[in-house]
Amino acid sequence: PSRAEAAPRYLFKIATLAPDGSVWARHFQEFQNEVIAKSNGEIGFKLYMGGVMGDDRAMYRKMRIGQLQGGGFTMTGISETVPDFRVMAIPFLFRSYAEVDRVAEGLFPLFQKAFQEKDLVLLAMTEVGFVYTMSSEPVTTVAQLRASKCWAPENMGVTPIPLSIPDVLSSLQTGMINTVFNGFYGSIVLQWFTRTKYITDTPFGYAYGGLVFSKSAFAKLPPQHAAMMESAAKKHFAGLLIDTRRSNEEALATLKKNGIQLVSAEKETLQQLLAVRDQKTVPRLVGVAFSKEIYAAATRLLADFRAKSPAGGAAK
Amino acid sequence: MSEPLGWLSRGIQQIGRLLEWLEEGVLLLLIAAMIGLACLQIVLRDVWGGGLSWADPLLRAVVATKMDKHVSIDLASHLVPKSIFRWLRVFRSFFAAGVCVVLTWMAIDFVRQEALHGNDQAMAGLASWQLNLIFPLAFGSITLRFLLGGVRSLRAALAGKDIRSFEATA
Amino acid sequence: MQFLQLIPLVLAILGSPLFVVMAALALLSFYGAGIDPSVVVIEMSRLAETPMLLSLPLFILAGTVLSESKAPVRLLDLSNVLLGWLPGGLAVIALVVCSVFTAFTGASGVTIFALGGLLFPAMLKDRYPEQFSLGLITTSGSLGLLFPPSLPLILYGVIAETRIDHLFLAGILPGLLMLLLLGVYSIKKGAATRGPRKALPAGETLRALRAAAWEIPLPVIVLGGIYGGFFVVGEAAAVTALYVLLVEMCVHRDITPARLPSLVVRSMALFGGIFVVLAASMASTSFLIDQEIPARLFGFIREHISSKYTFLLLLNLFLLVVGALLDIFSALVLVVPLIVPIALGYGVDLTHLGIIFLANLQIGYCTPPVGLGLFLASYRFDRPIAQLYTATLPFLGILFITLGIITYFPLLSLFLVELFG
Ligand code: NA
Ligand code: NA
Repeated sequence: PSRAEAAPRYLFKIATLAPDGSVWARHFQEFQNEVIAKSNGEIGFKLYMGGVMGDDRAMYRKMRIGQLQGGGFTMTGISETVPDFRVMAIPFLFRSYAEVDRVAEGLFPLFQKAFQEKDLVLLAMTEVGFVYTMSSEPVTTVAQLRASKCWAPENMGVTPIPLSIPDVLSSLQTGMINTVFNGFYGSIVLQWFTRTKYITDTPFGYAYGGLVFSKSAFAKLPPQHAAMMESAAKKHFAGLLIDTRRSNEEALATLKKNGIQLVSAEKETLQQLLAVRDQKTVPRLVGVAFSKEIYAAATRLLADFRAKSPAGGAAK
Repeated sequence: MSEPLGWLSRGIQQIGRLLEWLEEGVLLLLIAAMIGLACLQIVLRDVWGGGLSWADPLLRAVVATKMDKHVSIDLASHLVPKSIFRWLRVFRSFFAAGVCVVLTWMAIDFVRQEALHGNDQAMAGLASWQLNLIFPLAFGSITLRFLLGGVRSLRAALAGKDIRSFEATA
Repeated sequence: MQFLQLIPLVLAILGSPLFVVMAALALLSFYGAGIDPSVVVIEMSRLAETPMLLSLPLFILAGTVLSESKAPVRLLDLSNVLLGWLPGGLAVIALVVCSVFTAFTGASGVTIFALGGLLFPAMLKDRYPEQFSLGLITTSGSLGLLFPPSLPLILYGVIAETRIDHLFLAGILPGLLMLLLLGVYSIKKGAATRGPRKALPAGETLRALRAAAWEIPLPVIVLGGIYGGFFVVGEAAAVTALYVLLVEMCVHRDITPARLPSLVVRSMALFGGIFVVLAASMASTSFLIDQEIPARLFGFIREHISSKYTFLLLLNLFLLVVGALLDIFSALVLVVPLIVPIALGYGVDLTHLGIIFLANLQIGYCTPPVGLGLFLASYRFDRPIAQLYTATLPFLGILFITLGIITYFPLLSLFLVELFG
């Protein structure tokens, strides 16, 4: 009962870019409450939200020197350190969340190994969700995509206009760019939807991240605590995925209510883009941006899944 | 005034002058590059794939030290008698040098860590540790400036004279 | 440890460079808390990676070149011709120009450094008292934060998840009110100290216009470039610098090529001085964040108040302190997520809250004893900080009045939103 007053024996200082009150924060707090209760207060947490500890790169640096013991990272940020983690961001890789879940489950042990090699522990995966092409004019053909003035976070396979995130909205407003890539929820949070009237309904890519602890801090835990923490993370972050997907669905409804139109890409457009991806983008990335092994594992898992459930083809 | 002190001071001044020359050259190049590249970027919008590297602000801090132009509160120069103020200046310079030595050391440690674990393709084909070399170099240089100022103000204090600022003899 | 941390504070009063003092405090504090002090350098490298920082050196260079050329004289001539009949004409011009500039650069010190160097000598030349001129320019360093497309306004919208176009609308009237009151004060002050002016012959108007013909389009180029979608703020800095260099070196030939290196070195020294202070400030702020001090402070406030109006009053006091201690971006990132849920609990509109928030940060920027704008102005104009404390007081008084109006008359902020939003 008096555990709140005693200082925890194992303190984890965790940072994230996610703001206070977000779904991420809510689920992390549930995870934290369970871990504190089950360890009788031996494990404690300090949570730094809203990027107050800096971006992913700064968070990783602070984990290295031991100021932080963990963080909620985005794929883009942590893949600077663990390149293999990038593999699920290949454009047009997934057509449905069922495919995402199967591949993520299969790759998770491989990811964990890759993180271990960098003195990191991957406890759970998180997601932003599917990322769509959002534009002020409909984009349904390759010619339209090429002609558009687009902004994208790095590594999306399109030549982007270099801009920082706060510049994106003002650039949309001035017409310097007219096409962006984002999830439904993200486009509402960042207000980009006020300037993009069309969304192309095929997901361009999948954006995700992970809950990562530093190995040195995690290794100090007695084995039963470590196992308990891993299973608590599994449980609560699975709930986070469900909630994220729900808020994306709700966001889509909000977007539609605000008069935003979904447009379908033409069939040959998709085939052209896939051809570019398979003949140019992917060969350039394999062995450089991520390893051959992880790419092979990802494509094999996906092919297996599609072979078993041909119905799971359509995008959500 | 003591002979070794004078020798040390002259040695540091030589290095200081060389650094100054280097800094000014690099600054001019950087400014030209910043203006040129940004304007080029506007013209050639999507030729560039990512942001450009701008790891130079610390270089400018070095220049600020040289010009004795750091932001400070400085109530003392108005309130303290001149004879005490001379020694205060000595103390201040060596304190600043001490802090900057620690910063330099921390910066070296940081660069070492980046070399071991950092991103090896951070910007413009350079690794993160190479870009961040600017920190130990700049802090090292600022340390040298403060030492130079400290030695000069120490000599002035010993001789009972006033100095205006570092740049007076530079 | 407490004793050791006193040493840098004493040295601060004794005139050690502020960045040395803050870095020393940060190093000692982290060391004392058992955290590897090299986190100080991590924080500094974080600052160097901030994109907005990149526009600073080029805006400063443009300002230095403009102030070293005969542009201040041409501007002064022009303002005399156009607004000479109005006592305080140049002061009003200064207020307007500064707020437009700050709207673009976001109170990062650019206004004081780039424009102050131009306006301060011009105002002295026009026989405004030094104290008045110093106060006006220091206060103007953050004026315009409420006008679009101010970056802090955008940042608030992103953090608080509020419509940014609504914030843009909401900021206009409160910003204009500030300008209006400060303008009236300047005109009264100008009438008292400078007296009325006699009208100039018509030929003079044409001559002054022609002389300043190259400098006048500058704001149009910057605004038009950004709103026309040709470039972003960072690039606008480069365009401005290039344009100013071309005009002053090739058209007016006020600056010879031989003088350029020393101007570059001087403006970069100015920027370096700002950079290390910001970097060290980030490091010391980072210690406060690590120890969860802002969160605890706010938890305390939340426990002890009940009414919405007391909350708003205390919020103002709290934000003034925050605004004086932290840079605007850290303050936004740190405090907005803490305040938003509580403000909602008191029934405060989030768009209105954003305007209150930024008005406070704007005032905190030049509030003694530690408002950053005061240090920057002291540094730029080579005046003791104590002189700036007294110089800004009348202006602060006026800003406090506007703050009261902004806080307790939400309609001022929300009127345009309700009309157009
Ligand atoms: Na600070
Ligand atoms: Na401030």
